[in-house]
Amino acid sequence: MPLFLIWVRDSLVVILTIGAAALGLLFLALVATRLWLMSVDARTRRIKARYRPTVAALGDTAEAGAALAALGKTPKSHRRIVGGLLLDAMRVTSGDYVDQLRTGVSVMGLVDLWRDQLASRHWWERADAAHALGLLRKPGMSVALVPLLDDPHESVRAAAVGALGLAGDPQVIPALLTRLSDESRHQRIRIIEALQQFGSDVGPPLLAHAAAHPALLPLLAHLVGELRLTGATEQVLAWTHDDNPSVRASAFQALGTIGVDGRAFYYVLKGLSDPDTETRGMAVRALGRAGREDALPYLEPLLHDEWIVAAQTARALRALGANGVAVLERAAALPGPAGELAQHVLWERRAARQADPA
Amino acid sequence: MKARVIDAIIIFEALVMSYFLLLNAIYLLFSVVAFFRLRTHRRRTGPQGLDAIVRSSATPGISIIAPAHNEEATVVESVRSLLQLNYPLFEVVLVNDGSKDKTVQAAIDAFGLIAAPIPATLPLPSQPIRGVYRSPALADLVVVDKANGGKADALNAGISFARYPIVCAIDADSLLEPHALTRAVVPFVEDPTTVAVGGIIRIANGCSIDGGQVTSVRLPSHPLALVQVVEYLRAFLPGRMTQSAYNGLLIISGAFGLFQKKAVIDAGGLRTDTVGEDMEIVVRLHKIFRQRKEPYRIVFQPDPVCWTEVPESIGVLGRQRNRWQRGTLQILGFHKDMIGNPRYGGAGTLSFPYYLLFEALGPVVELSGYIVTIIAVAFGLIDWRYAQLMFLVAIVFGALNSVAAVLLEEISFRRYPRVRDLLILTAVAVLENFGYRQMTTWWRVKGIVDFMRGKQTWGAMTRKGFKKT
Repeated sequence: MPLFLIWVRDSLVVILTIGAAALGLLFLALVATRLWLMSVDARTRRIKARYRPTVAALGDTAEAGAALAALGKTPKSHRRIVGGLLLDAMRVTSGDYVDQLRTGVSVMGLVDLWRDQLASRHWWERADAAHALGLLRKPGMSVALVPLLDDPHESVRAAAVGALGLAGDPQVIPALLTRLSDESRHQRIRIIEALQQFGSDVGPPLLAHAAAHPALLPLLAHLVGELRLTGATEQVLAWTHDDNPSVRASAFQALGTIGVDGRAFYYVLKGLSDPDTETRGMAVRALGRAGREDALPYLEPLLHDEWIVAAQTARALRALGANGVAVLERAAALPGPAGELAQHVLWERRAARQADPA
Repeated sequence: MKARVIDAIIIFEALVMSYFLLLNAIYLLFSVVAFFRLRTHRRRTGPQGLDAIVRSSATPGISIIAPAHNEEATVVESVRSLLQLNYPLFEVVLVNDGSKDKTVQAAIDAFGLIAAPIPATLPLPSQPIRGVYRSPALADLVVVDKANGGKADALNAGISFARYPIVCAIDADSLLEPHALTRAVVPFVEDPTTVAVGGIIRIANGCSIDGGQVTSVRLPSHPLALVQVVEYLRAFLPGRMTQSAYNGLLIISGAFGLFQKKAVIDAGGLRTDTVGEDMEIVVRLHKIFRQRKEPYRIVFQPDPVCWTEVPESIGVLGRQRNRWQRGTLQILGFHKDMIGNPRYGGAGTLSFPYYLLFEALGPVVELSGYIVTIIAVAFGLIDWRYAQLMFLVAIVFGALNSVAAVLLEEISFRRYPRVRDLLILTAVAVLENFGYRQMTTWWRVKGIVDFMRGKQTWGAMTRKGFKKT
């Protein structure tokens, strides 16, 4: 018999003893974990119940002073939980109350604590601290937050982007634009969402960034639309005849969102004959959103184009009212994909009218 | 002669014991890996993160595919509950798989559906589509009526009509928690190479249900369902967490799984000639992406919860386990070239050998161990105290792994809030080794025999129905 098997046979008592001991230990660990978690929950509930009235009193002018004094005396061991209460309140309120909440955070020394935590070796502490500092909505916090845009952990980078958007310091726009090339798609979306908080302030730095980084033009052109930067229309029109088809498609997409004025209309018409399918599709979309009936004769033949263009065309025709619908009805009688597409869009229209006759 | 027989029996017993110890050592290793993974996971997905996902324009839309077969009594409530999920962009595609009752009519009447055009071509083949119904008022509901073809066929039809890039396959009686989709979509959002995500399945027997939602979590009172609570915890938390860690997850439960629609369509949809279509599609995705040398991830997310009803009758449970065993064997057979093959990464080198050695062959080894021991003791070939010792070792290590799974649940999600529940689960972890475990071994061996005979049926699955508050 192999040695290992002999060992197994002869060691069953030892194996059983080890197993039983481990089972006992695990059971003890289970009980201890439950007891510990119950005590942590009870303590958190107790502290929250104790400080909730104080936090609420910050919203009352007569009681705010006393509440701030009480918060200033908060023991260190309670600071984290009370800080959570203040942040929860900040998330859902505005106006003077937020100023008082901010003061409460300051008197408790939480700002310094969170600043220190930005350098913590635990990523979750860095992320939580960034988020907390962002909720203070103070532009002055951005200096401490910008370095976190290059944190190795994505959750921290995400928290930093969100916090910078909340802090609202326009100085950070170039830093955010630079990080648009972050490898995570979701981080890029978060950056776009943060940039949306700055409104039209993004326009000039974005155009400067586009000039310096032509490789990012498709994304930046798309961003002009996302941010509805009407001031950048001139530049977008220039991008509609860029050599790169992705730039042209993004430019037409942006025009569809920011609006097609009299001059842009002719650029869009030109885009209908672009050799790139996606560009044609985006030009059709922009035309549909312009709502101009004189576009009908240009749109009708595109129902027979590539699928993506045809689908945009059908949608655009539906948006153009009775005359557009008449074109769709003619097309619905035709065999093939164009007819099928027209039938489907007409059905959608009927269903929508049935749901809401008004 | 007798001495030789005794030697052979002792060698056999030692081999079975070694096999058993190895299996339990692997389970314990799974528990250790899962412990660290769960700790990280809990920190990553707090309420702020979920809120950001709900608000983000980058969050992908999800088409929930709900196959229904003779669900006239429950279909309206199930759809209503699905439509109430908390997710920014989703639709429900209810697929009537040739029901003989009035499943479709019930949905038409309840939601004011009207007939919609059927496209001439669909991306996946399925049994003929008899009708498509949409709701003018609820743009997020589509009902596809098709000829009967089984669950996989119904899912294929549903995927063909899905308009969003992620499809979520569920069972008609699955109850998803309000934030289940938000939690499940996280891996797709974090990493665009994610092709599939499975959530945890929890047992709804004993829980209170209201409006299609679990309102109060309680342990089932029926002993069979109670044992399955521990069994499910053991299967999902240590096992799938660890397999997911090395991208070797081979199963995403058919009750709740999310897939990248394009990946499933490119793979040709779900196979309709197997009783384990949920495992087969996952294995095939591994195979396809490895062969194409494209980066991909198949992930288990432990917190998007799907509640399901488990059998409380021995007959139904036996048929279910028989089917699961046949499904595993079928899939191992379909993809035998992946077993131990480094070309298929962790799935080929770790998960496949594990499934072959412990999931496919495990019941045979265990049953033969019982039989040989009983015969040997009866004929006085081995000392009964030695047999008793082996049985005790089996119980202790079996219980050890179950208690480890309960501990993982305790440190991560704590869904059973009462101390009493915790004690009951611990007791069940020990008691399941007396009778229940032997029964499942027997059902699985029967599954192996049925597989050899080429049996392909699902077996009737009667359900008791959820308890309502």
